[in-house]
Amino acid sequence: MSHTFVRIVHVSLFIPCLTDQLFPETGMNMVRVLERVGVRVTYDRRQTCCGQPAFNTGYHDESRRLAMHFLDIFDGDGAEYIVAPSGSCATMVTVFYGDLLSLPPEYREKAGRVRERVREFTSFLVDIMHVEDVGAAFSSRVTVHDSCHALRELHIKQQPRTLLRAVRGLQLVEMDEAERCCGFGGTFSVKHADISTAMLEEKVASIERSGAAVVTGVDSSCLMQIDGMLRRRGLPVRTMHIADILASEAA
Amino acid sequence: MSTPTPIVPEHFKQLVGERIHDDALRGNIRRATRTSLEKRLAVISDYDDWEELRSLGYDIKRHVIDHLPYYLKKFEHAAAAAGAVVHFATDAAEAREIVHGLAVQRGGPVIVKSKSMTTEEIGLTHALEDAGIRTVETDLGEYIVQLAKEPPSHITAPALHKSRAEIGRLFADMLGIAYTDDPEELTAIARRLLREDFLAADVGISGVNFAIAESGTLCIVENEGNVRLSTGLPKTHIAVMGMEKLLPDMESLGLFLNLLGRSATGQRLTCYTSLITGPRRPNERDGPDEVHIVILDNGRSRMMRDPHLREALFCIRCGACMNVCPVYQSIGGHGYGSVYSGPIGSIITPVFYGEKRSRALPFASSLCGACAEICPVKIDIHHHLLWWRKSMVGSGDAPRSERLMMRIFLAISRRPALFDLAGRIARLFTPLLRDGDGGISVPVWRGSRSFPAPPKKSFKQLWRHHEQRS
Amino acid sequence: MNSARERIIAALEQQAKSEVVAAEVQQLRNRLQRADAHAQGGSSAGEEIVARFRARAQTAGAVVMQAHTPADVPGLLDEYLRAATSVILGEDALVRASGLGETLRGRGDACQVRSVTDADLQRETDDWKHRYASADLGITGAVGGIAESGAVVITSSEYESRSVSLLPHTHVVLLRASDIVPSLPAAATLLRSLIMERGASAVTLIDGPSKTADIEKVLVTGVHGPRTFVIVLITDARDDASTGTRPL
Repeated sequence: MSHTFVRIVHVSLFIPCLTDQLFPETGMNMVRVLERVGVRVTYDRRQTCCGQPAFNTGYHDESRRLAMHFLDIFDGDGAEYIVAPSGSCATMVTVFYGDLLSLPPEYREKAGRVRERVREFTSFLVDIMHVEDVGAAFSSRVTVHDSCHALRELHIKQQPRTLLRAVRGLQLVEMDEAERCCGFGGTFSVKHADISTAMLEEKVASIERSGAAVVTGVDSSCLMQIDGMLRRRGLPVRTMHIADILASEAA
Repeated sequence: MSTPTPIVPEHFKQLVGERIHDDALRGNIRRATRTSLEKRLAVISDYDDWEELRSLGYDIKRHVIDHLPYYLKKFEHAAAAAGAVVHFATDAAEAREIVHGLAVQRGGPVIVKSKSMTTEEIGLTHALEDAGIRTVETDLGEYIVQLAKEPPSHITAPALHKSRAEIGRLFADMLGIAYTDDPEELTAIARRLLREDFLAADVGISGVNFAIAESGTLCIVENEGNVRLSTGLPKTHIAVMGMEKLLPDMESLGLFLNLLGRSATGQRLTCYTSLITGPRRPNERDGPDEVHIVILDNGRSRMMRDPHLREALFCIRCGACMNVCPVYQSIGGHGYGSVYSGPIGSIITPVFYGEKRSRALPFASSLCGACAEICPVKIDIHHHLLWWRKSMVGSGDAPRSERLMMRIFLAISRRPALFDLAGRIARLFTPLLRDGDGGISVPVWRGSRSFPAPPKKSFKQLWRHHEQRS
Repeated sequence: MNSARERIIAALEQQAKSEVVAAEVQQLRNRLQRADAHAQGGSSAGEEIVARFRARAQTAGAVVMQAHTPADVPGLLDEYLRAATSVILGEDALVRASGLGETLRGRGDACQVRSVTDADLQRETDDWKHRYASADLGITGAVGGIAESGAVVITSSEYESRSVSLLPHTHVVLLRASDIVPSLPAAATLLRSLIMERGASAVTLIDGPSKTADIEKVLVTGVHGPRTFVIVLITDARDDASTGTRPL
């Protein structure tokens, strides 16, 4: 492990609503990994939702109110960085808490400050902490699904792979069309469930062709979508958020 | 052309339902789009700085659109000086009227027409045929869909959704020939039949890919030769162009031809690129005696007014966004119910047909952004979809139940204690909803996917333990 | 006066800037030039350009031959000439210099030899189009070549009809290697000169024989235009072979 920080970095946790309610262990695993690499972690329990689902569905008023709630919590909280186990939620704040949301003037200033501090988890580890080996061990054939927001808005592609390559016992394989959308897209997965399912079929076929036993990624939402069909079909592949893999240690 | 059915959620659902389970159709589309994407990658690898070319494409288009009246007037002046007649049409009806008027006056047994999305947009071919003027689509793909009485399903490959067997059957049934599904034989048949029309026609109609302001030149690209035949042989050539097609000069034309061929079909250049400047000169031996250019608004000046939509005017109609879109790959062009399908179609259709009649389209996307990534002129298509969604919801166009759900979610999420409580209550129902696959049954999530069963404790609860331990 | 034109221009003028700043245009042109030069990898002339042109023209489906002087052309094209029962020749300098007319007429009745200047091929004559369509072979001169795509540039003029390169099922084009430029943006000067100085109503770039992939993306050659496209590159250097001023 190599750090370029001499002092302890203070991180404030950004736990998406989906993670809080459906995948809390993923949140805890992210905490474990962050603490393992020497980060001081705090968590403000007033946070609920960054407003992405409303925003993506066109409900900007509702989204704006939630963004203001988010900004009130995180602005000036004293942490250097705000880290989220989600590329799509990190994108919401860093990309969309700007002109698109038409925030009132004082919140635009808050947004300017907060956006600079928000990072997706793997990007935080590799690009900020310059850590590649988090001391993990996980023996399995693993493939990475590239979540759309993380890939195209935050340019996260190499970071998860860099971290996985350092995991003891892990064999990294690439699926074909790893960058193709899994079909989740938030409310799209419900509003257009049939198209969402058709897209998911293609993704699952890619995963099967890869020969991996585990499919991972930086977004629980995508993994939830993928897992849904793997479970329904009883396929011998499971999904794990990258935080869950990185938190695994040798027995 | 009769007004198309409004693409509202119910109608879109029907369009999707007709296609999503058609494995043969999906297979045809998947194979065709995959081929285009692979070929594109091969030819853009000629450049190690493709990104700079895309940026230049964006900047040049932005420059033109920011100065559109200047370049429009420059083009008009130069084209007129070269002997072309320039007409302006504020909307589709006016454009049809102009072309119909010319067609009737110039006569002839048949009009030959090359592929043009702009003429599809204004419903020109149908209008001419309804007026009793025989109008033949000469591009092979368009010829096929014309025989099938269908609209094109893709901007550059109109019959992309059909298999060779289907085309063979169509030719046999409609042309009275022996059945064959061999592409070479089918093409030879079309060549033979259409040649008669090319030689007989007195009027040829085309679209325009780029209009060069400095010289008044129309640039039209193709692979088959039907554009050259439609624009070069008949005595009258009528070109219909959207007014955003302008480029300043020959240098930028060079760049855009490089962007277009590679993005559209994975070719370095299409087989033929025609640069047409006015009618035949007195010392030239053949070529039309008249060239008429119909410059079309039809909502484009409206797009200029919107600082976001303006960008959509940069589109060079390459179709790359359709090729890469996973939604397009699943439902095909006809699934969108609009002349312009796929990602770009979803953002410009509301302009041409009206927001209320295009309601479903901006929502028919997972917002993956692959379209923006591939667009040769860097239009942020996926962000445009977000703006349309905001506009439509903002003007009241949303289901009441959805609106209510959003309000409830807001009310709960603004109050952390309430949010936690709601989570705890929802978790109480988990045992009742268990499905057989380790998850729970959630009807809107559909039977093909299991929904994760909420765990016993939320993150907030787990954190409390964590805090206490440390 | 409230014509469609007036209404459209008025609507646009509210949303756009009315004057173009020359410096802005120049900046874009400079960037384009730099990007293009970078893309061509620094090669601007010589064998590398010709070799790239040949390779890419062949990829597009053209048959590419090489002659040292125009006089070598008839010999090179022997196979095509013998197979043709009717040929139509352009009257540009390069075709004339090749002596193809003399060679073909020298063969007697075996081949019907026509020129684009023949009376029965002119617009005023009935069935002129059918005569073009029934010819096997059209031979014309090109005024330029684009190395990056392997395309040739032909132009309408009093020496060339549009139909001679379009209706016969085989089109042979003669091109001086020294007229090849690296890229499309680099061809801008030539195109501008042809259109704005010479007033050519139809300048056409041709990249291979007519083709389509409209049926299942299967490539089929010979749709509406010529099925066979042959480029004869003439490699001897000539003084008058400078872009924009070469005689047609």
